[in-house]
Amino acid sequence: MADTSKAVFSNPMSRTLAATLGVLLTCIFVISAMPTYLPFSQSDTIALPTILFPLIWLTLFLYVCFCQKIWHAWLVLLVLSSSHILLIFLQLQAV
Amino acid sequence: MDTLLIYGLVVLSFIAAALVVYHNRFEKRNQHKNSVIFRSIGALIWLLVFVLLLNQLTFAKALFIWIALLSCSGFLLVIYKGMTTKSNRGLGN
Amino acid sequence: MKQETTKKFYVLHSWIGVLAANLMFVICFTGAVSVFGKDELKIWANPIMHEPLNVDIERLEAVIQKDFETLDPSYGKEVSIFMPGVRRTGYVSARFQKEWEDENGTIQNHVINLEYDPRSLELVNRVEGDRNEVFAMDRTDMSDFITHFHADLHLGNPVGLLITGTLGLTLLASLATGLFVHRKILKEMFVFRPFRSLHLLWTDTHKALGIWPLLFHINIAFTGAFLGLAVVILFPATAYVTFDGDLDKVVETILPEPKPVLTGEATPIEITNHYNQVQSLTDGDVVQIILFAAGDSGSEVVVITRPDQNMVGSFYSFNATGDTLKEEYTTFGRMGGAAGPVLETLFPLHFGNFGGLFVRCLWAVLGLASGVLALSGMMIWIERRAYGPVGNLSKGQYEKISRFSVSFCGGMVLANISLFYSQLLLSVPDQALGYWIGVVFFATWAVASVYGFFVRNEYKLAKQLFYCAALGCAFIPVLNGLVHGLHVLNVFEYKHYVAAGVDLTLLLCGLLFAYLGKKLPEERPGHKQSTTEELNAVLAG
Repeated sequence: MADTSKAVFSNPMSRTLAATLGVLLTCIFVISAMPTYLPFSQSDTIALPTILFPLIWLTLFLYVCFCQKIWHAWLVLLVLSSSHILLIFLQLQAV
Repeated sequence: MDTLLIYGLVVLSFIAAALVVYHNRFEKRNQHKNSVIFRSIGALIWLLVFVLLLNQLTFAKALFIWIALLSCSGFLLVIYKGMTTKSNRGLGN
Repeated sequence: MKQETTKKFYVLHSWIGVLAANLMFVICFTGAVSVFGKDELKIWANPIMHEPLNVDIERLEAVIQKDFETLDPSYGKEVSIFMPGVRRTGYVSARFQKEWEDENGTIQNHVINLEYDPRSLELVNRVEGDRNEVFAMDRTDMSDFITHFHADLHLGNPVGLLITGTLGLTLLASLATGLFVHRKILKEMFVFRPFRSLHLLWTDTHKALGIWPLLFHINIAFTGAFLGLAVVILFPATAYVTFDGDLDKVVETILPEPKPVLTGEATPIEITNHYNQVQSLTDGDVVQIILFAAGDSGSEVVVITRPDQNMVGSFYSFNATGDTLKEEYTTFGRMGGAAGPVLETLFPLHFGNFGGLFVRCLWAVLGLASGVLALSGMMIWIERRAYGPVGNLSKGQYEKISRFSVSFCGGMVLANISLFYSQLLLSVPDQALGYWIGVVFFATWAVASVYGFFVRNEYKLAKQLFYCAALGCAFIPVLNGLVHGLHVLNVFEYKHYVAAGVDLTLLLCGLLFAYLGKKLPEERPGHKQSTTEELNAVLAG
């Protein structure tokens, strides 16, 4: 009998890439930019994103895996990454 | 923590785990009421363990140790029950 | 939940598990051993620590003052005194450090590290160089080896830490998906049928070990991911915007060091009063004393202890002169905000070092459960494919995978046992001991892993590995007696209680391995094929 995984996930290669590299990179951009908008003390804005990283990663990973259409997942990752890269750029420019 | 207290907590945890894990022996004999009593006593003993820990330690430390003790005693009793229950023995099939 | 979604969770759970299971077992098993690394195994590996040590603080103060007077006063910038076993050695060590800015504006440092016999306080060793050089010259014994292997597989920063951190993330994902797959939690947590069939043995083991310690597994996954990735990714990423990537500034913000105001007035080093005062305030053992601007009357003395009632040890800060306690704080206690208490809790929750031997034993048992959870999941995957309705490879290929898993994981157990033999038998210079311990460790692991390919029958293979482990564990106490003359029978004479306790534990482990080896069948019992109906029953919940 054929492996059940073939019928279960669409676009397995693209989905695997999104779930591994895509999610990791997005999480790194997100936690890098979080200090620019978190309304806490300096030490909290540095430490809280690092503490939240595993949860952010898990949420995005499960979303990418279970998303019906893989292009939705890529779109979400792209929007999150680009918006947070923009925040980083603006902060570095301001400094 | 006192060594005697530690031994006491471990013994109490295993007693509580045994009461909770072996409760379904009563279910099999259609003695649902006894099963509920067993489980309730087991849960109360586990609560007692937590209170004893709180008496000695801060809340966070007591909570983490209690959860670890509960987990350990629970799965070790389940494994012991499985290894010693005659009806589980072998067809190897 | 729709059947299609459940199927997705099931397939994802299987694939994450298959890719990570063997390495997960290695990390979890070495983690369970490492729990005892800084205490019991450190003492076992260093005969000088076998008898309980009570360092004479007054004499130590005099010795350090005498040696400090022979150095340039600039070495008083930071003087750290480590009690036996705290750094990689059974000796008391004092580290004198100076810093200066060179012509390029770079901060340079030079460290002089002195080691003293903990009883006679005679100087036994002196090394100097910059911080990294001195660190590299530290002795490595078997306890240091196994804790570092667990942390980064001896692959260093960043590769090793990335691997272990990523494994923490995969464990988190496995737990999340596993919770959705095994939804009859309350029913399944009381069931264990080891003798009915192989399929039931592995599935019941997987469920019992997955459900009862679930909170522990979540804790280890979360804290393991954080600890593995913190230095490599997390803090550099958050520091990038706030501090232009300067990690030192991040450390300074989160962990500010005292900045004593120098008076220029010389004063002798004083630690006895501060040590005694701390001992009266807490039951936690003193592990380190740091003097900032030693030799100046404006200097500050910080005494660091192990945890007492709290989760973490405390820092007690004093002025150099006078007995008044300036401040009591914890590692992240001065951060303020919400993150400080959370960071404070992450480390002891992972290491299990907040409640003495009792909590370490709990953490070791639960850590082993995490390892066996991963391995049992791997066995379920193989069983379904080799003898069940799913799978693309041939039965022979799945059996090869099974043999590799058994020998890879069994080999890790044997490699850990080899550490004790290396520590007792290797006769090499101290600085080379760590290297040769590693050679023996990896060689044992490699031989056992490869051996699996030459044994056709995985049950015989598993039995052989169990019996090897049993013999290996049981002979260590005998060898310890022959090499050091210390064993369980003369424990009251020589008072080496901890080392004797380790020997006794190894003996019991040997008996357990022998029992498990005996219980295993010689070959795979007649099996019932896992049917499509069973698979669908799982997926339908």
